[in-house]
Amino acid sequence: MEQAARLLAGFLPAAYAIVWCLYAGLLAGDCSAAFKKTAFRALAALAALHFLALGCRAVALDRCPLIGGLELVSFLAFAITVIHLIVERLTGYQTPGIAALGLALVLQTIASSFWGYEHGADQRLRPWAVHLHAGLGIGGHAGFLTGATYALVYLTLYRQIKTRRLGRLWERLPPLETMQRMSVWALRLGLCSLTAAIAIGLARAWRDGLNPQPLWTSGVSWLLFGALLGIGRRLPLSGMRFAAAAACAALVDLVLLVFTEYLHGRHLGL
Amino acid sequence: MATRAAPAEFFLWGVSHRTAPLPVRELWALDHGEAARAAAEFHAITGGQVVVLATCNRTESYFYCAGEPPLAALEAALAAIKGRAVDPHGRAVFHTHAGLETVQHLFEVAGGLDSQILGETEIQGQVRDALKLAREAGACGADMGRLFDHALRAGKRVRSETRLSEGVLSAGQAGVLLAGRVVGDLRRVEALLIGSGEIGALTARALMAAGVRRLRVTSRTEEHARALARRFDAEAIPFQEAQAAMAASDLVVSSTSAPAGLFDKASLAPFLRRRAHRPLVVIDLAVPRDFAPDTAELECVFLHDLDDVEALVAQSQTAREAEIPRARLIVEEEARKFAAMHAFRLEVEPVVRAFVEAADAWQREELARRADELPPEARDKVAALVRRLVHKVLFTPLNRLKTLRNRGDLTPEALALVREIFEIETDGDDPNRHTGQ
Repeated sequence: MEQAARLLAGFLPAAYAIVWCLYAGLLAGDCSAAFKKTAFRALAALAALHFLALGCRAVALDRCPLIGGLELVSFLAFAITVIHLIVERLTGYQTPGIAALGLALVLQTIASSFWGYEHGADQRLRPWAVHLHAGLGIGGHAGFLTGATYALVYLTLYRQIKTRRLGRLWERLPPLETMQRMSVWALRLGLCSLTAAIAIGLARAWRDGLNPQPLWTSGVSWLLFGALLGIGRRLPLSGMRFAAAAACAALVDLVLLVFTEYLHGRHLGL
Repeated sequence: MATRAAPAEFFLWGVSHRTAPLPVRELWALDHGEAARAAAEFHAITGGQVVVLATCNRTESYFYCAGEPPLAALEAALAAIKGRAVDPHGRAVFHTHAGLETVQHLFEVAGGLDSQILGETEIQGQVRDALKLAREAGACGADMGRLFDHALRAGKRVRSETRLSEGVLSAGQAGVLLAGRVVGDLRRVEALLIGSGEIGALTARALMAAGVRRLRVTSRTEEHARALARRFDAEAIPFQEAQAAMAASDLVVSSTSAPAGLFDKASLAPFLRRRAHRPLVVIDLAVPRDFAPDTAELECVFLHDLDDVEALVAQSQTAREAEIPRARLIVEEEARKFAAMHAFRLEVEPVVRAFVEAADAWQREELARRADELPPEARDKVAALVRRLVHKVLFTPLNRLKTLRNRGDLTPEALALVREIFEIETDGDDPNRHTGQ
């Protein structure tokens, strides 16, 4: 199983690169419906392949594959891919995938290049609840990162239209309002995922009498994006301000994610 | 064997933007009533099938008749319809085509390849209307109907398989496109049109075609605004309320002929605050501009002017021009296909029809002769059996005949031999068949 996990981990960056190239093709030229369908299917296959790789690693190591920065980075790439897949399905727009998948490609290349198998089996990380808690937690942060990536695309597009540079990029990307909706969808998915992760974490901490300290930083992220989505809904923010706020919040979230990982590591004595 | 008449052929005679400037085309422009009258009169003159296609770019008459139509008589009839005298020097502006060239020309017209605005789609409807008008005038027969139906199919194919009709064809469409890049779904859009001139009307048409939720029109001359609003089922508002109306709109298209700017950042800012940051697309098509350039500094305002629109139209024109070779290939292929089918119908169809009719007559004759020898309850069964048997026997030779024709291997001599062997007599080709004459 470890061999399979290593093989898949080695192949994943290439698979990400292939799918990214397909999405770059969508942005670069007028593509047929068949090409669009192929790109979407390739993305779905990539998500399945990455899931398989993570599964193999979980079986090989007999634990949740989320110890250490590199495992986290790989899972983050997987979650970004899945979130983009869902948002693409919801809105029907594929071209922003070049940004989201670009981020996932970079993350997975880093993970595949450096990760090892130094952390072996750990009884505490075997239960399914741990898998679920960790997976949903990373899914939450991935949602925020994907939402921020879309927000950056929004800002680029906003600038293009505002300065009347009506070029290729302008033609291929979704309309501004759709771009904002994609960002909001990704943030909402992230918030839902993180809510579930925090709830599971709190329930386990309460049942097993554990210190819920690692959940604090996730709670701060949750509050940050919850407030952003709430304000965006109640007090309508301009699309440009919402996008800028989402991008800034994602930077803060990245710092909080590193800190959360540190707290989890300290908590587990790793 | 029956004596065959001279074969009928497709002809075209007309004037278009390719052969005549606008003042000349205007002289020969026909409205619906005149086009119907022309079709009927041309039908009477030529004795063939006629369709008259009259648009702002062309007045073309399509004929299916035996021998070239008498152009002088046609011109005299057309001049009479227009209440003008025949001008012998003006004949140079008329162009003519015959045979496959006519077919190809019509297919190009239907595909938008021959339009002044390359790829425009209105021509498809105009071709359909011309056919309908000729049918109502009793001038169009089955062959002409098939030609026009095929032309409509060819036009549809050109549009679906090429990008000839994609992109921006007018300022109005450019406005729709620019708005769509910001707000996405135009069915949710409330639009405001400032100015009620020609550009305003074109824009209103494009906006309504795009399905905007609500269209309001305002003009410095209120009457003009009301007239335009009535034309497009829109709402007219007083010019003084334009700024307030902008606060409720997602798209503003301005095309007044005001001598100086009408709006600027300072005058719009208080009204736009009410918009709760919803984006507002402003397309200023006026010269001089109605919106001062500083309007673009308002955060949610996306201001575009005539230069942007013209750039979009030009960009789109270049892209459409690149599609011409592909579109022409489709037109040529469809024209060849039509010509082959038409030739098949002319040569083989009468033979096949006569063959089947003769076989049916033989079997009816035989059954009638033996009817007394059969018990009454078995007659229907025997009749069905004989019919099936005859059709089975005929199927292979008839199918072979069609295959040979499709492959181009069926020579006139071979067809004549088939007629001779089976003693088949056909009526030849009568251009008046199915016209009710």
